[in-house]
Amino acid sequence: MTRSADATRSTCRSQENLSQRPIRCLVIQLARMGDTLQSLMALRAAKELYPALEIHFVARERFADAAKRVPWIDEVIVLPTDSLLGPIISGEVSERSGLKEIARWVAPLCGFRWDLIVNWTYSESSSFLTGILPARVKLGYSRQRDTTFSCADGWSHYIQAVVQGGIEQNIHLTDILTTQLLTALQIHFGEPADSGGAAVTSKHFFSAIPDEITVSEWHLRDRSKKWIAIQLGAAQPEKTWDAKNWAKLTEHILQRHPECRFVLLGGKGDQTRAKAFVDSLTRENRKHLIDVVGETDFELWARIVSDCNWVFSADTAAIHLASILGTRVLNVSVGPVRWTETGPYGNGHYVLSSAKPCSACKDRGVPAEHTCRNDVTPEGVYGAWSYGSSEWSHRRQLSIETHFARLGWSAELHSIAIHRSKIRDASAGGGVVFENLLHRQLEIANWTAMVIEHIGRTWYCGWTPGIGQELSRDTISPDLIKALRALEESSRVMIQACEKGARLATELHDKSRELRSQKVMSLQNRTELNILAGELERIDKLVNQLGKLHPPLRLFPQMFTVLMHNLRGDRLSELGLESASCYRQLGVGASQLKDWLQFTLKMARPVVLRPASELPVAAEMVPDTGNDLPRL
Amino acid sequence: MANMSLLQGEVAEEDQDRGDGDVERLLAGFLRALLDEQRPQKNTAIQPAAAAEESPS
Repeated sequence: MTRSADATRSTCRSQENLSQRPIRCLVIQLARMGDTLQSLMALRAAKELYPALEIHFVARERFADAAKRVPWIDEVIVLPTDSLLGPIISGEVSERSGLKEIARWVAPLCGFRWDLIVNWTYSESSSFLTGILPARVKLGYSRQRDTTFSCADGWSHYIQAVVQGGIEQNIHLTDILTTQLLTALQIHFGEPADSGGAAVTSKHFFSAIPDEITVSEWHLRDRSKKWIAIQLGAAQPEKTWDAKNWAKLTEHILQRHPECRFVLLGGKGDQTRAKAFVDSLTRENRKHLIDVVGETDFELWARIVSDCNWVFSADTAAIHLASILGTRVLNVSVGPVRWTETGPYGNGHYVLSSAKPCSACKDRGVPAEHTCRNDVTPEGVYGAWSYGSSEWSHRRQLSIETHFARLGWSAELHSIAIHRSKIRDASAGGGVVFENLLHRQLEIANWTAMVIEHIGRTWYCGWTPGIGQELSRDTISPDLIKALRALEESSRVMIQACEKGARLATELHDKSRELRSQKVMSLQNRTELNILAGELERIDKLVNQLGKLHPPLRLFPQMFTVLMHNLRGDRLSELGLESASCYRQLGVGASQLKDWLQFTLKMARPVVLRPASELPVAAEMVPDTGNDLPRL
Repeated sequence: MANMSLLQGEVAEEDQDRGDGDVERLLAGFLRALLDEQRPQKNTAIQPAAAAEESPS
């Protein structure tokens, strides 16, 4: 059966499914709390549109609490990692006995065929679990019966080649997961009854928390004050911000904003940091702090985050919890973090990061000090927060540079970047975007991340906003223009390579289709096929070389590798046809990149100031971006 | 225009054809990968290059 025929049949079946019975969906999330919370946000959007979705959620024991508090999740299946693996690691039981235990845990999940399995863990282990379980449709990483790795859907290709492949891009993971699931639901189970639009974040995201658990110091707090939660620590030490920095920031706020109070959050492993934090505060200011580090279970943690006006945090699950609960986030993003993918989700969150290159972040294999952790200073963070928390008064008519100048801290801006999150209007492409609040010139890496976002949406969303709508002329520097000009010729060659690859692969398909056998053939046929294969090999090498030569083109060889690995056909003719489709996909992406290049270079052309009567000349020279372009 | 066949995910047809040996191999892979992930400092993300090494082609 061909894939398109199968898709049609699935869609036909889908309409009856939607009305007759629930869609039984198993979501596998074996990663940490932050990933769990991002998955829940994506599931909320799907459940709003497909109420028939019956969600069964697999999570590790330590991170299952969040899912258990979500009223619309039908079942949480806990993977007891510690009790399953602990005895094997300690040598108490053999791997063979451990296998029997794993089989016992898996058996109930194999009892029937799931309508849909969504593996959002994107890890090795989860791919095996997905491969074991029977389902009509599988999304995410899986395994074939011979244990070969398999990744069948487009967004999973994107995650493997781009997100996990170390290529910077701007689509938030919550948006990727949401789009991936909604598209699959639409294809297999029909259009949703409702057009959606309801907010996925809410103070009531989790089921009501009983009063008895809030009988704590937090319950007795002064409710007339504005509370700010500081989440100490992070999953990795290099992603933490020093406790003394957090304390100095707290001092700045308490000195200028007597209406504020603080609550200190963290796990048991953060108690040393908590002590360093408290020791750094003045005796007077310690009275304005509630310290619950190491004392919160999920319920109390969620209650505190929900009750606070702001959550301050490095790269921790607290930023996702606050996003879900609609609490504003100030994210101090230090260390090797890609906050455009995993930063706070929603409107009005602030992300502070270093504006300087950090060699330890750039080359993660080499042990070096993360200078980015020191570039972000307490004064810089205070300035950004005080700007964000007074938006109601200045309505963002005041520039953040002026705000810092008034504080006397303009120099702090040299080493930091400040971004503010915004949910785009659906007509502008939707999803979350982080706006740069400081007037900074665009570097080639940021430009490429914007382009790759556009290419990803074109490949897998089916519709995209216009090219360059978030570009602004005054951010285009001579350095960027130089880098783009150096890319022009190679991008053209990339398009040609993809076109030729598609042509050759189609030819391979046509020739091999006529063969009676793939093994026994005339010498002439064999020679012709060998020539075609050799030419295709040269194209592959060229695509690889272009990617090595120009980092903005690295997307293409990496995506090509993933696509080629996931070819499904058994026969040469099928492989030829699928390969042609892969080259065409890459060609669409390469053409988009060329369009972005041309658009940006055209936008950067000098515009002569002319009288209003001659403005059409200027309008012709500058593409309409909807932005107010400064005139020279 | 997005490629619809790439968006639909894997439409499984072979689940019923699997034998006990297939399931056992997958289970063993699951256990081994879980144990690997318990080891500190191991990058468990599946990199394109690693996937290519596993490719039957």
